[in-house]
Amino acid sequence: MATLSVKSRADCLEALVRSSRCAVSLLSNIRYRMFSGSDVEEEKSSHFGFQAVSEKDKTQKVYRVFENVASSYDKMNDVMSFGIHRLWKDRLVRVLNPPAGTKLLDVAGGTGDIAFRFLNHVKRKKLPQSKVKSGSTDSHVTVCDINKAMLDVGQKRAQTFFHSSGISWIQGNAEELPLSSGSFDAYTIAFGIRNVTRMEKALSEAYRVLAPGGRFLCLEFSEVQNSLLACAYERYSFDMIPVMGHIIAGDWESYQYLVESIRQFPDQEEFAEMIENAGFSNVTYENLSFGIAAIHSGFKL
Amino acid sequence: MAGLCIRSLLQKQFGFVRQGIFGASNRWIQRSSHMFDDKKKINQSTDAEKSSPGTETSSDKDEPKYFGDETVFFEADEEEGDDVREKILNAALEHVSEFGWSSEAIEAGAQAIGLSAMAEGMFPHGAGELVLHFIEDCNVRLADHLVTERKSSRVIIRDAVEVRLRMLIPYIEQWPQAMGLMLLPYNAPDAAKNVAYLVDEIWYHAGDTSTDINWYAKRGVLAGLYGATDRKSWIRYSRVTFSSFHNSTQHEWIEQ
Repeated sequence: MATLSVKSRADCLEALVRSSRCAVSLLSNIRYRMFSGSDVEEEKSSHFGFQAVSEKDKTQKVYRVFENVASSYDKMNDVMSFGIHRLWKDRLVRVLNPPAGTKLLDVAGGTGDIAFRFLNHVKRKKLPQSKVKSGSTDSHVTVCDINKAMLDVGQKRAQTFFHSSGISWIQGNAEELPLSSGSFDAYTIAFGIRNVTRMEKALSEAYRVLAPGGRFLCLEFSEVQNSLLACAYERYSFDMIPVMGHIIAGDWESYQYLVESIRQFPDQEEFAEMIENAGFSNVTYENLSFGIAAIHSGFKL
Repeated sequence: MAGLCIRSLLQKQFGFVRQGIFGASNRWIQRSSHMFDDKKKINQSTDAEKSSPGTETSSDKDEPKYFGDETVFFEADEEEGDDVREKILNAALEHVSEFGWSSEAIEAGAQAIGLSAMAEGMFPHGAGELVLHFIEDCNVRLADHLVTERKSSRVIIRDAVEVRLRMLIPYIEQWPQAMGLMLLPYNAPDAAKNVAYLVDEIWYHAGDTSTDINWYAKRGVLAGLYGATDRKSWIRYSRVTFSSFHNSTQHEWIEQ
């Protein structure tokens, strides 16, 4: 007992020391500019947080991050966002508002947060009589994640929440989905596209697997609109989140990556343009919590 | 507070309607208010262009295109999206008798033209947008009808109201639901706009040239009259059986 408390105290101390080192947001901004500049020049390079890495390395590094955090992923989400990530995900499913018989593909949804919400939403929805007769009522969600560890957590949770039917689990890369074209009504990706190495490719894959009229929905961290709040948010994410990651999940690096990758991600307008370039029509976005996160929506017409 | 709201609404309303006086049956007039705001911006930008003749000759591909002298603009992408929206809503109207004015009708409409039911998400206000689309469509049809007809002003007003009311017959059973939807806060401004457009169109074709307080009075009276006959016709409908409704002659039904 005594040794444990000494160890955790030492952990905290170390965490604090490291946080003060990372706290200087000015420094991180400079780093941000340096590396985002070099990304443009070299074609095959990508970024892992603020580090410039090769595309192959990025995929592996991201894989390792999520392998490490899988077991404490949901707990950390709750702590870091004060539970607000649940509201964001609820909002995503409400925006999706899936009609009966929807075939949903949830990419990067390893722990099943969106999938379970989708199934609950469909279950609660009243069915129109004509559809009950025609038998096209069974909705289905396919969860696709590149990471086996995350999928394992999701499958375990599915058992505890009694979601056995209407859900299937596939391990696959968002850039090369192992699924046939035009086979889904909706494609969701929640806090996932940021971690994909080649986002354009993931978007065009999303376009491919959707049926005409299908909807693309993406929930992702974005740029905070209010400058005062942006400042506080910046301090919070650079100073607090890695510390929390270290204390709760025992993993500083992964959460340092998380924060840096949020800064690297394009802002609302820029990302909307990327979605349009992938071929989607009627592209809109909605800010959540002053733009900390945003839901982007597009249709394949 | 309420007075302020009404005033700003009226300002928007009449600014909007005045545009309609000279253009007979332009579909673009009935586009939603943000479209109108966009157009204002375009007007401003064209003014700016006129003032500096040097910039007029340079034409980028990205710039919106102008048609005619009314500064109507279309951007290729938007037009395509609007086209699909219109197709979905037109197909959805055929399912109103089955599902009522509801999101389900829009889903069925999307499926009817070969899209996923998910396309219903293109209409964030759901059923309200379907009703507004129907009303706008009726107004355009009425305007087209009025352009072809040439009668004396008194006859034309009665005739116009009658023709307009007859357009509701296929949906008379579901019409109270639609009226309810139009009272929702996010639909009401557009609904009011459509009534304003309707009465303005009728008075224009009736040869009204007034510019003073008469202009408002005439439109107000006709709007009230139309609203009253709209409700009256439904109340009367709800009292008679469906078969006798169809057997009754045109004038019997409309004049009572």
